[in-house]
Amino acid sequence: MAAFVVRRTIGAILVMFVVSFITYLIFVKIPGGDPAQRIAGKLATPQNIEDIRQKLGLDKPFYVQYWDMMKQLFSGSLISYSSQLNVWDQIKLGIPATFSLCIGAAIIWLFFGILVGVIAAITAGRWSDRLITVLALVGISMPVFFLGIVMRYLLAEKTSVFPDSGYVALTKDPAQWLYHLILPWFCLSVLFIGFYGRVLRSNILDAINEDYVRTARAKGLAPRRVMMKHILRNSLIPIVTLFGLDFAAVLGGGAILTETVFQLHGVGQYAADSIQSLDLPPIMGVTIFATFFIVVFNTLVDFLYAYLDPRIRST
Amino acid sequence: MSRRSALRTAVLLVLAAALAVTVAACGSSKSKSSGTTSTTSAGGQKSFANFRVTWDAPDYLDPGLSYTVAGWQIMWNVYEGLLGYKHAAGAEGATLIPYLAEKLPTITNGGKTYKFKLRPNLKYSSGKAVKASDFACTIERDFKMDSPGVGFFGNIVGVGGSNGFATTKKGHIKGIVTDDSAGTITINFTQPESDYQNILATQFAAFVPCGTKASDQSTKGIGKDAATGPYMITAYTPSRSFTIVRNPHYNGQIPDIPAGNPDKLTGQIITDQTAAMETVLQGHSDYDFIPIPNDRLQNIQSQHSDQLKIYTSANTYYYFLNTRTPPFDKLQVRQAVNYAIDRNTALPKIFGGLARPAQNILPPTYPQYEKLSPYSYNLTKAKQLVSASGDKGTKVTVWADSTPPSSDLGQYLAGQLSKIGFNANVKTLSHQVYFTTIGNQSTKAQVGFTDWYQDYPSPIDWFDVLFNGNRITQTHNNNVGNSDFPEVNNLIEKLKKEPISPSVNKQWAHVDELLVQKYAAAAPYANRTSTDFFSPQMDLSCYINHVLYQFDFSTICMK
Amino acid sequence: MATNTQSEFPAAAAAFAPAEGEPQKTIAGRSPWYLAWRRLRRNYVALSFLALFILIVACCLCAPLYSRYVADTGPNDGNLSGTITENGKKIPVVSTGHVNANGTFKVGGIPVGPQLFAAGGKYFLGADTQGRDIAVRLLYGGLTSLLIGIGSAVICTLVALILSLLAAYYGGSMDWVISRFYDIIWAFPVLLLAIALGTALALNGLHAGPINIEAGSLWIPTLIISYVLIPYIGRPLRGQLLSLREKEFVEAGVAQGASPVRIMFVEMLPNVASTVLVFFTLIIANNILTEAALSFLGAGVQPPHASWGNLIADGEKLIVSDPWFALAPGIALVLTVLSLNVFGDGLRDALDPRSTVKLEH
Repeated sequence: MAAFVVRRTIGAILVMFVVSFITYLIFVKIPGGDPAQRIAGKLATPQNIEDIRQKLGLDKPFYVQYWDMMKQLFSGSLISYSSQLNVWDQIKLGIPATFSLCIGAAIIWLFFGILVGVIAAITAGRWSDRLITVLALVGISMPVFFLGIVMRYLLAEKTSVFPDSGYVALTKDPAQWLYHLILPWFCLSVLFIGFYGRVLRSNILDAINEDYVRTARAKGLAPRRVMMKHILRNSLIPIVTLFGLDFAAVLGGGAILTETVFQLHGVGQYAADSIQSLDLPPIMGVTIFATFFIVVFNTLVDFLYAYLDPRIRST
Repeated sequence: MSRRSALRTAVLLVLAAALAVTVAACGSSKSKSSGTTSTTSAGGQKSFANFRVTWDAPDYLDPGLSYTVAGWQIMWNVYEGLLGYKHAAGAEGATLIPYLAEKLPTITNGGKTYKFKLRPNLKYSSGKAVKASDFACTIERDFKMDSPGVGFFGNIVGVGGSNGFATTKKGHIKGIVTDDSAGTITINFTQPESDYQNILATQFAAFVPCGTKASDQSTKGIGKDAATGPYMITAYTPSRSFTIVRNPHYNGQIPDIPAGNPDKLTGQIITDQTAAMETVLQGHSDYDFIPIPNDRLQNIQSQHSDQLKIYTSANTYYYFLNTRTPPFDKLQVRQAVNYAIDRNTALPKIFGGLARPAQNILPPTYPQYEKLSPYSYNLTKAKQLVSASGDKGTKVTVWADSTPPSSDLGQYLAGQLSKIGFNANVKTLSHQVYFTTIGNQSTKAQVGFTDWYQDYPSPIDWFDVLFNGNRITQTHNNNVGNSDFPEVNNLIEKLKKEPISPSVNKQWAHVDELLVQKYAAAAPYANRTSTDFFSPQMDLSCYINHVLYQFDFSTICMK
Repeated sequence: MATNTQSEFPAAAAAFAPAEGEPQKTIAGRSPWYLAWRRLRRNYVALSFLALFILIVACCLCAPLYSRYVADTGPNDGNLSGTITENGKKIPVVSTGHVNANGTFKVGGIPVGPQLFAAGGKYFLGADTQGRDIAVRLLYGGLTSLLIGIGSAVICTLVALILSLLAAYYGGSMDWVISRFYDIIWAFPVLLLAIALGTALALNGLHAGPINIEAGSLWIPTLIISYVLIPYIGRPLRGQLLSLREKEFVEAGVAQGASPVRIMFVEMLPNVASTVLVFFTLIIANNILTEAALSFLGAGVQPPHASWGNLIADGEKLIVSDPWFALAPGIALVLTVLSLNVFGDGLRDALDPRSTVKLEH
């Protein structure tokens, strides 16, 4: 087990470095992205631009620059080209909004996804099942940003049922924090509730036909006990692993659309803005941030599988 | 679990959620409270406790670095220089008055030497005394930081050349001579120019104490320590918020700057136009700096017209025409572009109606402005010119910035160019890199969007910076069209040195005419109007919009 | 005289026994494909949604016809200076506005709303800020979105299929390399990577070796979306193919001396064909949504070209004066993706009612 852990961890670190290097390569050779010119301002002389270039080390070969940037990133001193602000500080500013959004939405979609999946499976074939299936399908077909725009317009602008955009810190005003997050939570979870509901429903229906369930029933166990102890437990395992991966993906930038529509100024929005500004340091910072979560959760899920299924440990 | 209990649980959960939402909604009504009411202090001013503002993101709040309206509009009440402008609306606001200096400078030596004497007992917000040598330190700090404003000070003796301060960044600038005990500052220039006083009134020349580090100090307390104006910046979280309070060491040290009505400014930085407008509509803010989106203007105008002010600052929106890249190297083609755009009807629509058609390079606020209208909207004539030039069918790329309305303006031009016989397409770039890209000769940008907002009220800031062929550079070129007509260049060089007078003004107007009519060096089309949106608590009879710094927050009052 | 079988299974015997006077019928086997088709045929819901999808595609294909004969304007033809006749009255396509000297102003720049048939077919859904016909742009935009969605799905599926086949057949270091390749792409936050590539390539296009794609070309979003979603299909496929590799018929093929190509494409591929088919359908839906998200953020289809994603972005700016501008492309998106999802479900049920292969999310 220990060897597996070590192997996976080293693999994870390597992946993070490769991802950051590829990100760097994508942006390093973009014309018009010369940061020295950008920083120098409207009336700069060629001398200014040269000075800035040397100050930022932009005249060094690209792999040296990459290494310098990574060093600065991990020591927390990476400065953005367009705004001259510290990248980690900006990411830290965005973390409360992103975490509030993602964790809240995750709890909601996990809870309702399971609820909806169980109800649909139990009442399979009846109107409640059909209704849930239809809603779930619509949910996974709905673009998050479109739902967000429509909700924002109908409920926050035309009528003031909800506040229009923005994030209020939990520490500043818990009631406002909740109030501002309800719409974003709803928009972000709709897709996943639909997906998880359907996956759980089909898992439960498959499990019901399995031999071990027949055995349990034959033994004389009460239906409720059969459901809770055997069926749900087995059906939920793939859900839990899916959840781990989805949560990581959402934290790592899947929330960009929701954050942008609702102007939450979280890490996702910071990423989108930096990419559009071709601002390489924050892009690197956010990519490492996002990849870190994805890799961590992927590895955790792998550990979980290995723990549950010894056959996998030899890979 | 059984079906029934599952449904029961579901219903209970929904009820609980609804309850939570209602609790939160009730909690939100608390925030609709306004600031405290105003009181009248001595001198008849209506001071009030807290002015909540929604602002755009400034680039910096360091006077040596900031080069945006969002920054300057905050800082001109915080950091002061030798000279400044009157806090008045309209043309009067362009009047230069002494700030830290006792009076306007004594100019000798054929316009090359400027001498100032500081007022006595000036203090920074830290309590430190203001010294004459601080001026030299300020300008030197600008160069050491590679400030975007260093181009303004290029004519000071000792700056230029291979041994000049701009290159070596060591020692001191020879042309600035200060005497701390006498409080005098003498500046020697290499040649006379009529805009030096304006340059000394920019934020780049606002005093900071000697010893201030030569790097961005926006978040390191420079606003709290180095303020010489009626206000100081006590907190700044970039792209989030800022707080401004009265400067305790100000004591009216500059008599012509008003002491200011708000005791405190609480600023939140929001870049989304709709969200910014909503902060005022929902009662979280008293002022919205950011223009209201076109789509919402109708509602705001009909329901909140007494909270809305519009103003036209000194700006011009124009399409640059690159005379070094075909087909715009031909006069006929450039004229064709000017005939192909509908300035009076179509283009103002892109601004939501908030634009005045223009064919001049200079905005109408200038005494050097004389209205030009040589071009009418005539697609037939434009097509003829294009055919006559022989460049019909050429591929043309129209460049545009991604921030609205630039993208729409670019698409409009591409559409019109297609109608007159070109094969036009649009390329949109992020705002962060747009100007450096089109200002780079290697891009070979043929035509596209650009605009100019004045740095200070002088025609030099327009013609010399934007259309003087002698100032074309390889990168960072502000003369994006590479306008290089000897007749115009020589006239600009001559007029630069002459002090303002009615006959000089007329000659500047002639430069405008040459560029627009004779050479069709660009295609100007609008002067943009912008909005200031206030909460119902604000008394708009005190509203002052300054010709350079726009809305003056120090003079606004509350009902 | 009944045989043992007949007495044990009388019904079966009766079914197989020839009728009097007729020759013995041959028993025809039914291929799994035929059986699947029969199951699908009975799934009315899936079929009706397939019909919906085909209807949407057909409408979008009619875009040039609509543009020429009904709306009389192209998708990128601005009309800021123009007027239309609405119910006999002449009004500007985009409202005029101006600033008065005394500080008042008249709001302008508001395009006409949905005309339906009041203007003779023009501006059916209204105009946008450039005076362009929204209905025309909706149809052309649909064409673009569908093209990119389907095109990228084809490329993605093909590449993932070939890579997974190679990985499964050769195993060893080939498998290791291809798996790491999947891992790296999988480790990237998908949307971030797509936005990054989209923004970077939108500037100057892609000029790498023999590939020369201009910046505004539709190939760029297509290739980007195919690229970032390769592991989406590749990983589950590789898993399935790996287990196939161990099966006896493959071993038999190898023992017979069949070439690798034959084994991969004739032995292994047909066994995953149904999985690939289902994945393909579902990934078209996914890609259409991804392209919409990219274009919405400005990193996909560039203006002035329309796609449903950037139409929604444009519509958001006009949502107060013309909600249909944003609603129409959004609803079109939802219907298209929904129909693909429902049909994909039905396809999966038909091909293998007990299928447990799920698309990794």
